[in-house]
Amino acid sequence: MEKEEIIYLIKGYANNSLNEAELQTFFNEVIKEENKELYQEVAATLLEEAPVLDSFDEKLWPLFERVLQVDRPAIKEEVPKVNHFLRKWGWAAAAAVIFCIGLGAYFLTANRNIAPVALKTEITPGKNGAILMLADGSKVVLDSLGNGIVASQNGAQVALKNGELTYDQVGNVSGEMVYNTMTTPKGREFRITLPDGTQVWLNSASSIRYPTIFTGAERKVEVNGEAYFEVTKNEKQPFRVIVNNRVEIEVLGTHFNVNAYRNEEIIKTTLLEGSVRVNGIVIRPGQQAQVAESVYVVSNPDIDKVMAWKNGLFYFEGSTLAEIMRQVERWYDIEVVYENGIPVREFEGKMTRGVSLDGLLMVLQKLGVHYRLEGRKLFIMP
Amino acid sequence: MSTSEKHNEKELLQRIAEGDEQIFARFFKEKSPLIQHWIRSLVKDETGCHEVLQDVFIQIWVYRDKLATVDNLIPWLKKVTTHQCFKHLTRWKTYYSRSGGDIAFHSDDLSSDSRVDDHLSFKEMQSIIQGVINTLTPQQKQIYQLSREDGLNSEQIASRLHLSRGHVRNTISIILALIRTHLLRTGKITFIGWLIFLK
Repeated sequence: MEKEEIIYLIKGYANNSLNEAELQTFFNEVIKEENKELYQEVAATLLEEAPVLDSFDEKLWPLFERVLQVDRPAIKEEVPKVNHFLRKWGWAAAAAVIFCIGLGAYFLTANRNIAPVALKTEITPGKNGAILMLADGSKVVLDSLGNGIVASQNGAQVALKNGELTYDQVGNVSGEMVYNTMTTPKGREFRITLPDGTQVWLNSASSIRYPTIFTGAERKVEVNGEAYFEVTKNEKQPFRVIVNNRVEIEVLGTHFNVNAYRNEEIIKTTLLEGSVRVNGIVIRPGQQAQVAESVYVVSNPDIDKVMAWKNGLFYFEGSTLAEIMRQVERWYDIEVVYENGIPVREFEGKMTRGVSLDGLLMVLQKLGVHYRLEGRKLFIMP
Repeated sequence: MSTSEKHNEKELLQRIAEGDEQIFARFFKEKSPLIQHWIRSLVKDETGCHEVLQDVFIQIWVYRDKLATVDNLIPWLKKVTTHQCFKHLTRWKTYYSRSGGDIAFHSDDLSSDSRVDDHLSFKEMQSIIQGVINTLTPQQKQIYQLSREDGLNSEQIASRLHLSRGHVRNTISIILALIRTHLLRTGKITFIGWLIFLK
């Protein structure tokens, strides 16, 4: 477009003298980044310097107040506290989630026809789901199944009940113990009741391997990632957890959480009730054993922070951005990229894990985190 | 403008540079009718005009430490205004071009949408600035808080913290420069060349 034409359109818009077609051209062709300088130059010539007769509009004071607010150090902003529905209604509600998946899929499809825009960027939070690997190596996806028998494994009946997997002894055990492995991908969590009644909550990107029936002198399972255990008491048959082939937790009957993601430096075992031995070291309720090379016992870890995931929460208090982002990656199944190092920030507050990624990012933005989302890649900017 | 008026203005700008909110309020009261008049010739809806006015004064505020060096205030204000108008038209071009020739003043449709958007953009700016403040050293943070929360000028801050006045001024300048760097990167403000200051 000719420079003269651009100038004509800028002036015409200011004088309200453009016809409809010219207006379209003005917005479509002139208001473009490449014309910014020319626009500013021409526009400046149109601004009269003659003293304005208008008196000051008193209604503008709130606007001025906002201007001053822009760089006032923020009063610590409380992150909205939302009670996760799982915390409120227990895991029965999680079952409803599974039932609703079919229904949800229908609505999502229906929704797509009405408002395609709504689906474009939404990254949904993690939900109930896991993959079960049976003794013969075959895999069952647990997300899509309703209540019922999933498989029979060497005398045990594997069933899905209200969104959790259970093992019941129904027949005779023959020969060697056989093992099943439950794996949660990123963006999924699941709950399982082991053959002895022990309950395990498996966080996203985690796995647990266990025999379908516990025979012998001990009950031994292997975990990766993060899991919370409520172990059924049985002093005659101690419960043993092998973590990443590196840490051994010996249990009588107790409640504890293991955090052992490969990308977290330290394997943390936090005891809520009872007593456990971590690599031979005894820890008491409320204590946390941290294992890097040797065992280090922390006397008063923040239990709320440790258990937040099981209670359906993101817990920001005292967390670094990197810590939060590792959880976000696992929960939303995205990749986080730091464009220029990891910004050092401290956070506070907590929020539900039930929000979409957009919702979480809005809160983080309020807390001063800058980001850009491209597909499933989240770029963190300084 | 007479020499004495010019002198007065210089002193006024000097006080704003020190972060004096009262004087900045006076400046706002004095200059906003003219700036509003300018914006009205470039942006054709009342809500939009208000948004641009707010953005213009935000930009003046985050450049406050440079105000004392502005010799020619009017061209400087024009540059800020035309930038903010252009930014506004860019942001709303789809809306404006859709409504074609019927761009109505007081369009309810635009004003409700616009307020939400404006609110987000303002929040974004606040969070960018808060992000910068979070990365400051403890002393920088303390100086900044005394300036922005307690409204102290550099002399008062200096005597309270047993620092030199120059050091306090410098620190605030550095912090404002950091804030500007981050805002510039997002296009929230425009770079004002030194030429205008030195004219």
